[in-house]
Amino acid sequence: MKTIGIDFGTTKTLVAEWNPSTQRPEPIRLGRGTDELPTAIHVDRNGQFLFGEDAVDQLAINPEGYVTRIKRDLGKDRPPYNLNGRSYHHQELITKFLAEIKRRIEDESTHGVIIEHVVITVPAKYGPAAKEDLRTAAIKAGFSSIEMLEEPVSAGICFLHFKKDTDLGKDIAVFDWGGGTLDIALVENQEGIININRELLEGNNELGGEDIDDNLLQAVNDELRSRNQLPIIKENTSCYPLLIKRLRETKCLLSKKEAHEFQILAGNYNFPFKVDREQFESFIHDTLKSAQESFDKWLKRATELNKIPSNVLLVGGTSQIPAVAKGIEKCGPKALPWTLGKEAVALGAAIHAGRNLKKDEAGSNAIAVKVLNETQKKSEENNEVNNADDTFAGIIILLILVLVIWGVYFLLKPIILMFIDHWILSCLIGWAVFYVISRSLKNK
Amino acid sequence: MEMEAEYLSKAAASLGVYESQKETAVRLLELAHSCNQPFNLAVVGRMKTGKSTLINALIGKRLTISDVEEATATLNWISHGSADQKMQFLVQWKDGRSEPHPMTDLSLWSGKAPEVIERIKKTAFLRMFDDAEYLRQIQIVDTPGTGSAVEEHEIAGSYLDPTKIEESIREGGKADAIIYVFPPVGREKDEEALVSFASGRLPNSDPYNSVAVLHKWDALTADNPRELAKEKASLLFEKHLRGTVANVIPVSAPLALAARTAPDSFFNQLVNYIIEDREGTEKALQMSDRWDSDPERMSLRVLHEMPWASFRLLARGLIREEVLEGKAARDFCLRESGITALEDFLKKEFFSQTAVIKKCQLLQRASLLLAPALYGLEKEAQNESSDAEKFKSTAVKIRSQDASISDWLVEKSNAYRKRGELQHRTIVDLDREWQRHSDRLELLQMDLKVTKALKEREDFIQKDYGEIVQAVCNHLADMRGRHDLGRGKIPSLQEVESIISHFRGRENLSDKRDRPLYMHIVGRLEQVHHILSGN
Repeated sequence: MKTIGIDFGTTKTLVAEWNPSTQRPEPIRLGRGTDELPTAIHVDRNGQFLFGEDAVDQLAINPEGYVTRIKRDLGKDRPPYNLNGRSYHHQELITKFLAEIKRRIEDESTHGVIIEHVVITVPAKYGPAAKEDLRTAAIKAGFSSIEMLEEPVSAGICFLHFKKDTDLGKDIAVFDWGGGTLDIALVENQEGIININRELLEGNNELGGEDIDDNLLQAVNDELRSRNQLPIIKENTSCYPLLIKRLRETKCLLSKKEAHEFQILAGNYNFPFKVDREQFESFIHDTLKSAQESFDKWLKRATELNKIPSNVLLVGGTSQIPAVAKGIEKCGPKALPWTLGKEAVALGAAIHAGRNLKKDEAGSNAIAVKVLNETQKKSEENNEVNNADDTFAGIIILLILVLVIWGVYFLLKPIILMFIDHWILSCLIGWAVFYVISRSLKNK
Repeated sequence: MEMEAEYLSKAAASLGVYESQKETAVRLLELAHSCNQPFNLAVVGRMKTGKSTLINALIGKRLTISDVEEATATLNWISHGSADQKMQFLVQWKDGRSEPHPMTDLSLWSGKAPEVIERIKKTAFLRMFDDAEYLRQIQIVDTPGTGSAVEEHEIAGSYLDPTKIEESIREGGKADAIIYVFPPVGREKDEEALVSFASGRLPNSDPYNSVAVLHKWDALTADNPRELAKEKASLLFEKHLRGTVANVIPVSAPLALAARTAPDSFFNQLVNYIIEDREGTEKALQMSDRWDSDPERMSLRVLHEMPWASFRLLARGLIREEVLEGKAARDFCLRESGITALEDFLKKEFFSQTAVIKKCQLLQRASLLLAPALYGLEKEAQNESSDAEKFKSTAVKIRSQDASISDWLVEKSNAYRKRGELQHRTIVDLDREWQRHSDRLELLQMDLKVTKALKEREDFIQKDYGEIVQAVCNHLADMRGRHDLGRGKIPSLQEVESIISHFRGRENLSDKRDRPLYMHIVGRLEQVHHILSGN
């Protein structure tokens, strides 16, 4: 059975699969030159769908048909989206998106082998309604077997898989900061089985990498203003897309190097823009502060519950900014930046899916044997009870039978005796009856 | 709050069925009962500005406690209580203790004696009770007036210090709205006081929760004192108080009290005098002595006691407007008093927002209970279902060996599956409804934010769209069907679609700050579209 793991994010979606020959999870490249696919959909005036980067391209042409962040509608009672005059229920849009992923992987990666099983990760905070909506969407998208895995658990599974030798202690914090949201959770590692502490969930649904992009854009625009130039706004569809691309590159590069320089093209005016890490951190100060506040709040609760983790796992693209780790370490616990941080959730889902594949054979046999033993025991007990019942009933039936025979014998005794005494008369009567019956049968 | 309370009790009932969630159910039920907490209304003003009459007028009843209120220097909370509770009041000491006292002890908190002052200093507030219906919804904080007997002892002087007032109010609960009462003539100090009072950041801030009442304008000499009072009020607002209070509203508490508590015979007789002898009545109204010289006329003033100035105002108003029927006279009296304007204002501007805030707090507390409970039940349901799966797969495997056990297993598996599914259904439904409640609240909050942005930022939305957006944000909150939209104002389906397109475009091209606002507008418009297209 073919299986994949999907990290369905608010702004980005990442898919990974288990490679049985290397025994490793591997991301599936769905983006342009990158693994991640923007969680974005575009519907044009004719009802044609575009997904991912193709949809993002449409922002400059027809922003009226563009939707993103559909993840947060799950479980809700939202009115249907109206895109370029056509109405779509949010679940329908998610179904289309998942179906597109499935189609592309079957076309480009598995070459026709149908993907049946899928592990989709969900935020730890999701309630039953949101999960059910996602499950329904996945079923409609064509997956026949769906498993939900909580994002922090998935990240934990991935970490344990790759860092088997690292002793992390029992409690690990997962600081998952992606493009749109920040989620902090505590996972407990019980001999490889990972559980979430439900009392320690904290986060910010409105804080993510996009804020950092906005901060950087702000800085560029301040620079432009100081040079007496017009700022670049989103509506400026000729300059904005390129600029935002450069800014995102800068953001990623500054996680690794100290300074980065690039050309800003603002219409007819071009100039080089250089940012070093210190400047970068001052630009994004407010965003970092909000994240820090969430973490402080979380840590305070953890302290109250006496569950202070010694390690904080940094998951998600935005967590990889060095200042994030610095901020966390200021509060005490050790931050673990991680080269796989961005993909961890998707990879964890793929590992989980792969394990299930193996378990499917061995596991279900073991379970079957166990259940069989138990049930046999149960049914033997049942049989014993049944046997006892049977003997009891048998005796009663026998008694009744004897009584009936005895009664019938006494009732019929005079008649039988009469026939024995007057055998000639009996023969005559018998012959008469036989004659009458045979005549009536002949007439018919 | 009723809807949320109802949901919480329902959820408690559904959860109570499951052994593991009995405790959560009990706590949810407690939460549901605590829903109906009244709003807190603080009444602030100098002594002799008629605060107690205003409170009586709002409640629509002469409170027994206000008779002894004279020269009270403490903060008094007036809450709803049974007739028995009425006989006592609670003293909340600053050290945290609270003790009940009989009403007669109230004199221990008034006067100038040093031990009284000492006692007042130690007191945080007094809590009194009355069974008036009004108090079920609104709890009143009566603050000590300045100029009272104890002012020279520095205590009531602290009233000018907003932080102190805030502190003492907070001990009994937060003030959701503040009414500042003051008379129209002279008293420059009142304006100063109001300004300094409001500039000091009172509990949950700004002009968004305080309103001024221009009181005791009944005695103004003019042809139509009410018009004059209105003028004065708006002048005062423009000149001094814009930005500190939300509005200045002229109110006559004696008139309101008369309209709400005077017997029918009072209005009937008054109207009769006017009908019988209009000129004579007018003359008699010039002086209270002249009116009272006729014992029959004087008996009218005994029927319902009110200050002469207010009585004269009422009678003259009735003559001027030619109101010649008892019931109409009562309505006129209520209208003239301005109390309904004040009440509407409080309700619309302050309490509706507070209601949203209170609901949010309630839902947050409830979610701390509900989320883990639902999670636990979901896990249970999953276990049941996976047990069912196991039974079934085993049943298939041993079918060839032992058909009877296999059948028994299938039966068992079905039972488990059904139970699991039922439980799953229950919690999904609970969660969905829960989501609906929190979404509705979130939408209400966003409505307020959009409204604010519309008011404060001219560049936010183009003029031709502003009106529609405002209408949609104002009226969609409790809408159920097309008829609630008021068809006249609503454009056609195509127009709605084009407006949606416009705002979705803006949403996708706007910066972080505005995106949620546009997103909300698009959502609301899509709701309108959904309703218009026949759902």
